[in-house]
Formats: sequence, structure tokens, C-alpha cells
Amino acid sequence: MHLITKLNLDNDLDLMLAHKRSMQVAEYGGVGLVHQTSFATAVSEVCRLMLDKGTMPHLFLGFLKNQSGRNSVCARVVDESISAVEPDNPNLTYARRLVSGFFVEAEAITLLCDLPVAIRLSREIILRGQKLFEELPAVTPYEEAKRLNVQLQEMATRLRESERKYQVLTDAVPLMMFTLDQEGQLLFANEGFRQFAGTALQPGKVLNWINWLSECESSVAAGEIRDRLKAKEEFSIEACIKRKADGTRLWHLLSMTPTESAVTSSVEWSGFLVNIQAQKLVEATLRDNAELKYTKQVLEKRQMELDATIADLNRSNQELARFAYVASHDLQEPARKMIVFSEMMLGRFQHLLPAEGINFLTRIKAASERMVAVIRDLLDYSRISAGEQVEMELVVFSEIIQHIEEHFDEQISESGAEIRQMGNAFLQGNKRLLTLLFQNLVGNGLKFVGAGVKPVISVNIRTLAKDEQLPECDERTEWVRVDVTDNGIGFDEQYFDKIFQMFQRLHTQEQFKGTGIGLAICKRIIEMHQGHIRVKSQVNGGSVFSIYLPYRQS
Amino acid sequence: MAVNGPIILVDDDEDDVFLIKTALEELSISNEVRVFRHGLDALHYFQQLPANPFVVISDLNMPVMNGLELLDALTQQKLLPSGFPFVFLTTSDVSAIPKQVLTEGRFSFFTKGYSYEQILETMSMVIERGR
Repeated sequence: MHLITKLNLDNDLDLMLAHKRSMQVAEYGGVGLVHQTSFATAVSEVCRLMLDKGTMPHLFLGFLKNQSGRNSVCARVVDESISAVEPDNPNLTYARRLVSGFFVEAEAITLLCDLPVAIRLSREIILRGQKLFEELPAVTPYEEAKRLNVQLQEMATRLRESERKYQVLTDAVPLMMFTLDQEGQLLFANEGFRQFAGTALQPGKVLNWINWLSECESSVAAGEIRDRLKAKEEFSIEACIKRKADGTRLWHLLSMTPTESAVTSSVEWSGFLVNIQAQKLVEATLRDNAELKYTKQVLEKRQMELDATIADLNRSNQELARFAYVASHDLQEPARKMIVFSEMMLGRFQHLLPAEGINFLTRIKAASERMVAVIRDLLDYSRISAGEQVEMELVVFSEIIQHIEEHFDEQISESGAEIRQMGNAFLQGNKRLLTLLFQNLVGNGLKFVGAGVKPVISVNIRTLAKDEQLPECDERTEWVRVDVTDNGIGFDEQYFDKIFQMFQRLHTQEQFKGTGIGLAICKRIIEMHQGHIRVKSQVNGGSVFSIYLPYRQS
Repeated sequence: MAVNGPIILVDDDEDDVFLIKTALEELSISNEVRVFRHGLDALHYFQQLPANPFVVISDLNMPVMNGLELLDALTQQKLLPSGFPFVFLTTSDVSAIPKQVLTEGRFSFFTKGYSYEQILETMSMVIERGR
């Protein structure tokens, strides 16, 4: 069928219109007035029937080219409820009689009225007819209103479709889009925004976007945003906002653009929130990296300075050690000569000297001997402090004690002293230095005794359980403790720090001879072995020197 | 080595030379004592004259050429027959001498004493070592 015009039938008023249009189309096709009337009556009869059924039929009017060559005016009434109509319905029967062709299908009834033989249906005629009926003035004010209504509905449908497309499009975009009114009330939000902000946020519901933003990101002041919205100039800020679903804070770039609404002439805002978390991460990483590089440079510089300082220290340490050695050696020689020559003088010429001369010579010799002792201790100390690498080996503790007993052999037999050793262990250390350490401690015990007291020195060695170790002891190592206990004169514990300092003495030379270096040497040796020392003492109550040393099971 | 050969004494310390000479006299050692102030002097002596000394007594620390350097030079230039009595006499600690040299056994080592008695004792041991 070549469609010329169509009608939607809603009520009885439309029946009149259907009648009128059927007449007009038939007239345009060249059908005579009688046949026009019959055709139009048949069409309105069918339409009325359908309207009575309570449905809303559509009427299509046009021309049909027959294969036989005979053309017709054609009316097609389309309706869902046609199948429910009885075939022998009196109205249908009546209508059938008025037209030259009448066909009933499931959802349409077609009515035909033959055109005069002379009429040819060219394409031009059909196009012109379509145009003519489109511009046809309204039959009644009702028809005019109806046409406008149809146009409006079509536009509404198109608008809905367009809006739907817009929503689909904005929802597909991987960013948050929304529009606001001047007050910041949310007018539209895409799926991205709804998901990020959570289900509570629905466009429809009155939600103030500014409040939402300041809830998400406390650093963005609501007042500031309101001011910017008032300014009506586009702006963008970076904000770290919280995702509703998991509370994750993500960096976003907020871009706001004002648009003037054509209808209300008020300003609406279009906003985008773009996730810039990755960019921020890269920025932060780069910044951290730069800081790290800077720190590394500073550290490297420090390390170099430290290395230089260490090298300097080592050099000056070595120089100092060399100096101490040479000085001690050169100092020792003259002192030794004084001893030897005063001794020779006493040995060979004692009988020629007055008592006073012998006294002087004895004093010279004693002073020289003291000097040699100091120098020898200094030499020991300088050699230890020079930082020279000492060989560490496994040392059997009892061998050290044996060596010390031999060393003090003479003193022990003179004073009747007793050295008791309890326990034994392997020590990890330098045998010469460890011997020197315990020799000094035992030597002190032998030396610092009250008049007429027989010195008794006990040296106990035992391995320590974890809970017996000092807090400063490295837990990864096994430790031994050596207690050197004497029955000597002891000392006030307030001097504890002093006794380990160089040249510090608690007694005069007349009371007890000494250089004030012995315990300084002990402390240094203990340090070199990563050990620790503790002292308990009481005036006239003896002393206990406890030495903690790392030890290894042999 | 000759029992009657000279005793070569290499020491820069006049006092020690005096003490050693005194001790040797007291021990009735009549061998000639030739004194050199440092190792190089002594080396020259050995180079010029193929002497046949009784014993060499040398200090360790000396200017120009020290005792160890002298011993090395004499050994290298084969100016001393092997097993020749070479004695170091020093106040220095044994630890000042490199360990491998100590264990080579090319020489004897004595410390200068802190009393004349010790020096006498040392010298008699040195002479024993020479014989």
C-alpha cells in the first residue's frame, strides 16, 4: 500500500475524522461522490466496531496497485482485537457490501474501493498526495489539538530516547559526571558517580553535593566551594575523596563548568571527577625517589667523611703508637742505666760511701725502677690501644692461671699467698692479652692486702645461663663470668669509675707501689674482647672483679 | 769462628758498650772487642776484611742500619758462615721482632738486664753461645 495519511482513533470524535479523510483520499484518487460516500461509510463502520470493542485502532489510508492493473483506494484498520470479532457481525456485513474489496486478517481489516480505469497512480501523484494530506488544514479544532498532541508525544518519545542514550553514554564513561543547580543541589549523576558516592545518593532525592563533598574530604571547605559556585567561573581542584563502598580515599581532579540554562536563565554546573590516583602515586613516588636520592647522596657524603676521619684516626693512632713506642724505649734506656750504674756504685764502692750517700743512691735506684715500671706499663697500654689487630684463638683458662702463678712465683712464696682456681673453660681471645688482664687483677689482689694478711685470691670461672647475663651482653653469644675475689683492703665503691682511669691511684707510693695503669689496661683488654666488667668492693672487706667474656663451646 | 778472634760489638749506646766491656773484663775474656756504632759500619768491616770473629753481639735498634738489616745483609752477601754465633742484645720487647725471623734460628736473643748482675749473667751466656 502507498500510504497517504494515517489516523489514530481514540474516541467517537475521531470517527468523524476517519469518515472525512476517507472521503478526501477517495476524492484525490478520482472516485465519484457516491463511491466516496460508500467507502467512507464502510471505513467508519469498521472503525466504530473496533472502538466499541474498547481498543484504539489505527487507520491507514492510501492506494493499492492491483496485479490485474485495476488500482484501488485502500483503508487498513489495524487493531489487536480483530480476531475477537465474529465474522458474521452485522456491522462487518454491512461494510462489506459498501466496498469493492474487503479482507479480514488476524490484526487488520482491509477495505478497497476501485479507482476509475483512467486513473494512473504515478509516483508523483502519491508523493503529492502525501504532502497535501500533511498540510491539510484541520477539520475541527479538535483535530488540530489532536495533531499537536501526537507531535508532542513523538517529541517526548524522542526526548526520552535521547535522554536514555545520554544516560547510557555517561554511565559508560569511566568518570563521574553530574550537574548541579546554583545552590549545589544534585540534578543529575551518572552511574560512576552513583556507585562511588553510594546508593544513598539518587538524583531525584534532594542531595546537596557540596555537603557530600565536604563529608568525603574534610580539607575542602564547603564555604569555599559555595563561593566558587557563586563566582560562576569554571574551576578545578584536586581532592582526595572517600569511596563509599570500601572507605578508600582516592585522589580525584574535580572540574566544574557553569552553563546558563536557556529556560530558567539560571546557572547550572556540569562537574567531572576524574580519578588521578595513579598520577598522584607516580608523583609521590618520583618525589620520594628524589628525596631518597638526596638522602643517599647525603649518606654517601657522610660515609666518605667518616671514612676520611677513620683513616685520619688510624693514621694518628699509628703515629701515636709509634711515638709512644719510641718515647718509651728511649725513656727506658736512661732509666735502666741509672738503675745499673747506681747498683754498680753500691756494689763496688759501698764501703767508701757515707751512710747518706748510700741513702741517696738507693733513692735514685728506687725512683729509676719506678720510672721503668711506668714506662713498661705505658708501653703495654700504647701497644693495646694502638688498635693493632690482635689474633683471637681458643685459650684454655687454666693455662692462663698457671702462667700467672709462675709469674708471681716469688711473691707467692714470700707472702704465703694462695691462688685458687675453680672451674675451667675455653675462652675466645688473645692469650697474651687475657694473661695480662688476669695477671693485673691477681697482681692487685696480691699487692693490696693489709699488713700481715696472707693474700687469698680465688678465680672462679663458669658459663652463664641466659638470665644471668648482663643486659648489655649480646644474647647471640654464650658468656662466661670470671670472678677474681681477693681478701684485700678493698675500696669505696664511689671510686669505681676512677680506678679504671689512666694514672688514677687510691693510695700513695709509700702505701702501695703502682703506676695507675694496670686497671686501665684491664678495661681496654676487656673492651677489645667485647666483654664487660663489674666490681663489688668494701673497705677492708675485699673486692670481687667480675669479668664477662664471650665464650664458644670448643 | 775462632775462639781467639775478636768480639764484634755493634751498639750505638756508649753506656751499654761500656757495661759490656766491663762485664767481659770481669769475666776475664781477653778477646779483642771491636765496636761499631751501627750496622753499616759493621758491614763495611766484614766486607773489607774476611775476619774470623769469635762472636757478633749486636743491638737491634740503631741508626743507619739496624741489627736485623745487618744480619740480613751479612747472610745475603755470605759474609758469615752458617751457624756462626750471632747474638742480639737489646732492651726491646721480643714482639718487636717479626715472628718468622725469630723462628728461623739464625741468631740468639738476649735482653740487656736491669742490673749489672743480669748483664754479667747475660754476657757469660753469650760467650758460652760463642764457644
